[in-house]
Amino acid sequence: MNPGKELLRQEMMPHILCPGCGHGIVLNTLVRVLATRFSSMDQVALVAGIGCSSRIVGYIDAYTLHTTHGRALSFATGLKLSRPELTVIVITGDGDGLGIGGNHLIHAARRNLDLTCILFNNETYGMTGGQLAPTTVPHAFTTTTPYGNKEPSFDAAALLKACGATFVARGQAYRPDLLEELLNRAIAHRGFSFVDVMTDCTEYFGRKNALGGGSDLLFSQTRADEEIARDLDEWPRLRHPDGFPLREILPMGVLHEVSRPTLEEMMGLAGYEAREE
Amino acid sequence: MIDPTQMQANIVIAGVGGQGVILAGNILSDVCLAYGLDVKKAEVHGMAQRGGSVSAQIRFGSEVHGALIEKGRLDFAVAFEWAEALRWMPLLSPEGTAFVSTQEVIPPIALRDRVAGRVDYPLELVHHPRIRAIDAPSLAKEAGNVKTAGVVLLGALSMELSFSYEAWIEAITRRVPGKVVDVNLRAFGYGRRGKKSVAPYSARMPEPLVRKAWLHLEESWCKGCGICVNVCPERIWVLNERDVVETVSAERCTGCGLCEKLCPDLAIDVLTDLGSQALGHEGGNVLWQSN
Repeated sequence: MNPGKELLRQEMMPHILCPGCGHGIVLNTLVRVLATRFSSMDQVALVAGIGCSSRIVGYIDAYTLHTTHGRALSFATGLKLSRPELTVIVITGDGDGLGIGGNHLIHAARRNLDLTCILFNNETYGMTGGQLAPTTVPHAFTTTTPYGNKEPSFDAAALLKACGATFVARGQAYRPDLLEELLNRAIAHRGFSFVDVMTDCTEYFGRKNALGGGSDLLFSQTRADEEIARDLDEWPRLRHPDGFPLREILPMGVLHEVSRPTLEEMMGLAGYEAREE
Repeated sequence: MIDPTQMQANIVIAGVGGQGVILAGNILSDVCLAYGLDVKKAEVHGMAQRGGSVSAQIRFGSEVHGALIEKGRLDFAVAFEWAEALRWMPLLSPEGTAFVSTQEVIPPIALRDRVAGRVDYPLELVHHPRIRAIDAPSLAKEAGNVKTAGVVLLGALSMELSFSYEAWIEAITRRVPGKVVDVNLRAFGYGRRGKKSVAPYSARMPEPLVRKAWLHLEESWCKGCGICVNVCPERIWVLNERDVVETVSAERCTGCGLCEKLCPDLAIDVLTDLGSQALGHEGGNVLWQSN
């Protein structure tokens, strides 16, 4: 039994996500974490931008803000500074957080505000029609790269670590138990915590790259097709439904964890010191 | 009884790793050697650490040239485990006797039904005319240590061979660790006296760890992505013609919760608690409920 089901806005369900969408699994895990961590949703505010990932805050019965494209972290910064007693969780996608709102993301990490940022990384702009995103891997096919992507992609975790985030982790929709632990630790961490969650876009990324439907794409996250993963020049073979293994070579788990003063502490916000670690 | 120095026999001692098959074979060989007999012994013990079968073939007589026993020439089979006896039945000669312990050691991969703990165990052997089923573990427990079950069976075997009791005692004393010599000698005595045949009964099967599970599906939320269909280890979910999942044999559910955690639509609930836990929302139907 998922205790988080109590937190769903029943009248909004079923959600709009496509069949087999990895975001749904992250929502599943996130509500479980929230239900086990917090006695009341009055302590939690969820802030999201625009995109498939950001839609999921609409299904959680907490304080939720659905804001402008890429600016979720700016709204969250204002919210956190005015209501420091809230636990603020920012839900963003790779296009929303790294593309449109990349500037906000790196500066939020630099300020080390006590936020938790969960980035749903499906390597494409899903909601607007499957365009190229900054995280799309080289050679991948999208709506705007019909001959394959020629640009190198972002490693979101490495970027955020360099920007000064004090907690950086990477999880996977395929491993909900690992993800649950990472989300728990990220929320418990004092300071800017960032979780890069690898999910799937079945409808655009999976279809354009002939990677199969929902479960095929999900299982491709774990198939250790190392001989394919090591060599990007073998992209024609990668299009085979048998594997999209590039994620497998990305490191998973808690990648970086340090402690340094948060912005709230520097500003001496009232009552903030009382927040338990 | 014939003169022990003129005796000739082919014996197999079989069991599962850890039961002392090799030790029992050594004891028997020692007894034969004490009478100046020629002994050849072949052991198979490669799979012992994985709970696999272990066996020792022993041939002795005034002159023996090879250790392996021909089909139909096996005089005595001593099996420490019920199913291991089966392997040697084709070799048993028409006059041969098998001493079989009623102990059952079930390897995990042979446990066919993880929910109910059922195994297909060969019980028809009990009615075989040349089987002597012996409840060795309980006799051994009576002697003081259940690990001496093998010696109980050796005791039963010793009644069929014309070696003297003293020779057996000496071999056992030399072979087993000093602290447990008394227990082993007592177990050996029980085996010599114990003529009773005990049928194995299913009540001795290990109690399975049963996790009771209820499955609950919110049909209107399911979009038919098929993740649960592919992820379920017991293969209990299928997609129906409306592209909605349904269960084919929900009673096989072990309550692992993989489908619940990986369902993107949050449509599946796996309830593993006992008692009547209220479901989180309305409109669902309980697909299967264990008794």
